[in-house]
Amino acid sequence: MKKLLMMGTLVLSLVSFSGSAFAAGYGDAGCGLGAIIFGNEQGAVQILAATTNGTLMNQTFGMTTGTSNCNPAGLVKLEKEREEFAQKNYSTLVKEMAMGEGENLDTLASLYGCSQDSHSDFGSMVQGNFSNIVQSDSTTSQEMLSSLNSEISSHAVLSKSCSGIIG
Amino acid sequence: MHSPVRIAISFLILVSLSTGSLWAQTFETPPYAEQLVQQALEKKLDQKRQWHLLLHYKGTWLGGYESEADGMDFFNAPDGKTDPQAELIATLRSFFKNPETLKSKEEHPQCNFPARYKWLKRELAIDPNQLPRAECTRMENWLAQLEPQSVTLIFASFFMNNPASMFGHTFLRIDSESKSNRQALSNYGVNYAATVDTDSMILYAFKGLFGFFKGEFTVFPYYLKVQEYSNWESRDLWEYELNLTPDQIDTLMLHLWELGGTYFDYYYFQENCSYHMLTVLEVANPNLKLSDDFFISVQPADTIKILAEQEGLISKVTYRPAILSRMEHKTEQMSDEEKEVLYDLVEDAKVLKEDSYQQLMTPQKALVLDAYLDYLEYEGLGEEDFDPKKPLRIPHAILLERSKLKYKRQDTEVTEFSARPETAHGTDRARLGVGINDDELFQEIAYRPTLHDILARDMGYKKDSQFLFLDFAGRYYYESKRFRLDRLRLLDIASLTPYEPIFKKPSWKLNLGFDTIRDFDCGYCNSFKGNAGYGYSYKPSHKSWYILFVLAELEAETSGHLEDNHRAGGGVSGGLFVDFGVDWRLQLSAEYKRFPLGDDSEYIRYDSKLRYSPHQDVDLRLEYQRFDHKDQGLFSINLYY
Repeated sequence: MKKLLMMGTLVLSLVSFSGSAFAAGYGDAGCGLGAIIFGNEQGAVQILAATTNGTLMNQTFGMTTGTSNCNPAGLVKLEKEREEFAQKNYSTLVKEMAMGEGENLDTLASLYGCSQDSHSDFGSMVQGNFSNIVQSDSTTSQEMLSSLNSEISSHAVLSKSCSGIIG
Repeated sequence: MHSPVRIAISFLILVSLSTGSLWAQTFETPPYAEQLVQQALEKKLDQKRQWHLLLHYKGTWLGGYESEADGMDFFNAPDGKTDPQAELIATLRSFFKNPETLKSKEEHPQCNFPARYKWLKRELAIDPNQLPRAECTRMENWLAQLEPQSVTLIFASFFMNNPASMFGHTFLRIDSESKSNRQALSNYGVNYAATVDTDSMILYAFKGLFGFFKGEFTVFPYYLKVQEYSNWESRDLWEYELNLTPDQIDTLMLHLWELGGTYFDYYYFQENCSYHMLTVLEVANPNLKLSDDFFISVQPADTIKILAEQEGLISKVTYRPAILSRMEHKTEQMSDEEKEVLYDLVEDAKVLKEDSYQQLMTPQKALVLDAYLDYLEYEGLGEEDFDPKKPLRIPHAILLERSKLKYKRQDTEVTEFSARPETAHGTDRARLGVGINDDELFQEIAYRPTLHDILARDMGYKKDSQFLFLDFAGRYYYESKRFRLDRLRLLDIASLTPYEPIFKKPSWKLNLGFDTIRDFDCGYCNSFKGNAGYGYSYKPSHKSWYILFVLAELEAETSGHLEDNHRAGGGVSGGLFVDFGVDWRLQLSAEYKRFPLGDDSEYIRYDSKLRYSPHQDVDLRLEYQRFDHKDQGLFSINLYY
């Protein structure tokens, strides 16, 4: 519930920052992954389903619709992308976290908006704080992300070089 | 019941109908539309290669045309599938459709067929101001999200212990400039695949062979395919970055958008994933002639070869090793002692507490654990039932142990565990041979369409494996002046996978078809035979120059020349293959078979075969075989194409 409230506040604050862009409709910033995956319904994963929105000309591409849940700052979109990415690559991700490096881990760092030169710090940080980030066999990818988020925010270097963290 | 209301309604309907047709009339003939149609016909655009490519028209046996697209929404004219000219006229007129008459969620033809629109606009110098302005918001968003900057063709190679996967798979990746700093994983892939709607293997084969599946294009994040191929199936990926101009990429994208709305009947051999990747690339650059050369079958490796033959088309090739290739790369760096620790860990994770592991230095611990984690990830992904209470598929304790080392290993570049598909021999093989048996000289002529035999040069194929389909050979015997069917193997598969302590994969073979009975004299009589073998192979390491194998076999055959018309039994076979570089390979093997059922008989067979490849697509073979007391020698030239 707390998380939801936080999200709500975040979205509202974004709207107030970029009211005009929002008025022009979602998607104008060209947002990518999350938008495409989620279409205009949050949580409805449609990548593999390749379904349509019932258009008469049946575009089967999974990426559809004009709305795409994103904004010029790209933050909401990035969060959606991270969730999707973390869920779909969870095994590879936790492995690379324990190893401290890897392609999926670099991609996740990018999805946190971390600059290229901070990826190595990112790897060391997740390896060093692994037991906080992935706490047990029952940790879900969502929980992993929220722990990771707080670890980044409290990290001296990463909190500055990663623009996509929440909070 | 001629109530005034009813009359009024009829009147309204009449009025709306007449205005409707009036409108239709004006829609059908805006003068500019007709002018463009005239111009297009004068320029014979309907006969242009690009028009045929855009609509996927292919010439028919009768001299006409037919589009390979099967979704009728792909055409503007009712007979558009078979009439390029009618489709051209209808398409031009459709661009003049009044956007206000579109139904809810219906897209304007300018938006549905943007590649056609782009091409026609260019060919006819269409003035867009004289056309209705259509808002193609969905397409524009789609393009904005993909941010296409370059295009890469991905080839997925074979996977472990499954020779059928040697066929491979191809799909496209749309690479975006702004995502390049996020690694290739967050780009998008474009796949063409059959929408499989059956669980039955037989139906699957039947529908796939005869075009009963719908083939559709789909878009997905590349990381999904990497998970699927690299990690879940452990297949190496080869990424071929293509040299296309921004304009060609634009056309490609617009055409993909058009294809998103239609489907093709999927044929496993002909109109398959690889074939349609080629047709799409042809639309992007009509100067490429890629899909014309295929007649009987299109195989993914062949399509890569065709692309590699186009000068300057491939700008960069990247190897993405599969998870087990990466693991193998790590084990190759280990000492025997470290390998033992890894093998023990695979058996029981408690070894982490034992001295054998604890005494290792940190970098060695990391090396062993990293290989172990690869193994655990691969195994974890393979588990079918997902336990929501245990979302982590790799044991937490092992991950924790690895993280506590606080050590990052810089891995060396992974050696290539598979070769680029364009270095492989062709998939069709024709053979001419001359041989001699105890009685007479003979000549052999043979052909098979697919794919790779165990003695052939194995660049680009899975080592020590074989997949043959419809392998035919006939022989002309000079003395007895007879032509005989020597063999027609419907299917002949073999997979020798070196036994190792982690996966403990067996080796096996399976074949079915017509053969000649060779252990006794029946005048080269034929039998129908099935054979299966199961056993183990040994090879010290991935790079070793020999492999040993031993298989237990079951065999049954039926022929009028056998007592009771059949015999069934089994036996054992074993031998070795020796490689002298990639160009020479030697086989020495023997088998013993005993048939207690039907025609009670037994025989021992010896094979010694030597193959030399002077060229990627040519090999010479010298074979000597002995069936009990009957000898046979054969020299052959094999051509692959």
